[in-house]
Amino acid sequence: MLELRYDPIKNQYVAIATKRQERTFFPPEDFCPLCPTKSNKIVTEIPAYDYDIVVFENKFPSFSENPDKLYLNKSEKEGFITFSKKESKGICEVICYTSDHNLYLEDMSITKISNLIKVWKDRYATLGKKNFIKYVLIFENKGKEIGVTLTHPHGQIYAFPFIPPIAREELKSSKNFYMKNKKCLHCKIIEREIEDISRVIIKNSSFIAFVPFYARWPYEVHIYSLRHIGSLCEITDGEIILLSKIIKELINRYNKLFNFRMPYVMIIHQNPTDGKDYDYYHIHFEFYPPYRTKDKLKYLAGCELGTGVFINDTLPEEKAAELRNVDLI
Amino acid sequence: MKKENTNSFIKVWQEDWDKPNNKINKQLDIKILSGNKRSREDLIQKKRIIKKEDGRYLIYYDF
Repeated sequence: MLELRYDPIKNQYVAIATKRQERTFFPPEDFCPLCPTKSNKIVTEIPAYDYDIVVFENKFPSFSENPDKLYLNKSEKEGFITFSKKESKGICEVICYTSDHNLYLEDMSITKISNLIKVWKDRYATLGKKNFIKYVLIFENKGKEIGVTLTHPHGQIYAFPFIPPIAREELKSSKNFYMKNKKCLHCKIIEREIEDISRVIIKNSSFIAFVPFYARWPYEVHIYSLRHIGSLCEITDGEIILLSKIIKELINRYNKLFNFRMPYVMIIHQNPTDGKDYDYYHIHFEFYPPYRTKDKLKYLAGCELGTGVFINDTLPEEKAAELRNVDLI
Repeated sequence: MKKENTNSFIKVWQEDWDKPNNKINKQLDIKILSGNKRSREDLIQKKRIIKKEDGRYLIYYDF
């Protein structure tokens, strides 16, 4: 069953997607569904013998372009409140970064990472131009600690039929700041981080990576475009190369920090695609690694889940220094 | 690079970049001026789309 159920208390939707319980769970490497098809005996998701980058519709989606028809049963219609639900109409895609099962994003050449960014750019534009898609979320979950069940290097795209709550909040704050100051909130934050310097990890002529002043995770890092742009559609070829370099360096710094591949969630925040004007918003990437020390994970528990307030047990300035001081050679 | 011949089941991808009333195109046509128009067109030429047996699409991006 696929449907969106509305929570009138939290003012947000929950996506019910029961088929996802059946999704592939840690298959042996020989049976990886994201590898190319090497023999007729084991046909994977990708029929080609080899590929550069592949995108396909998720077999176990949370939304679908052709969702289940909705019906309301008797108990939902009766009583003081009608439980509201709507069709889970959206699109879920998988992006395979490479045909090599063991070549992670940070190991790839700058050219290959640049190609991936061009694919992200194309998927954002292609999905976003569909009338029922209001928001395109491009993300990567990496590592078993995050809950990843397929180890082949890949990311995902969720194209939503509505603007999700976190994006909605960010847009609201950005708009309020712009209305009051006639300046972009994110551009001003970048200025402050550059002035302060203590939380900056990497900076090149087009992008900056820093642990934000208000980091929720110990090693949370945001990558911002120095130029005020709202989505990947506005990025130039030269900027794509510089973005590739900063992503590659950041992930390698994460890996060198504790000498293992750091798991993370990577999110790309971009303008909604509902046709409205969001000139006050600013594209950025957010990385959330779950480790707080080499052998301790940060879990979301009572306070975070119960109130939405994150407790960060570390000082962002100290964590930024650790990442900055990693010797990459 | 060795690749299978998928010509027999390639579906023509209806790119509608040039439709005048397309909502994203309207945004792109403005924004692309500060970006790189050529790269968008290049990308489209590099896409090969097939339909899988269960109806899902799969897109090869060749570089």
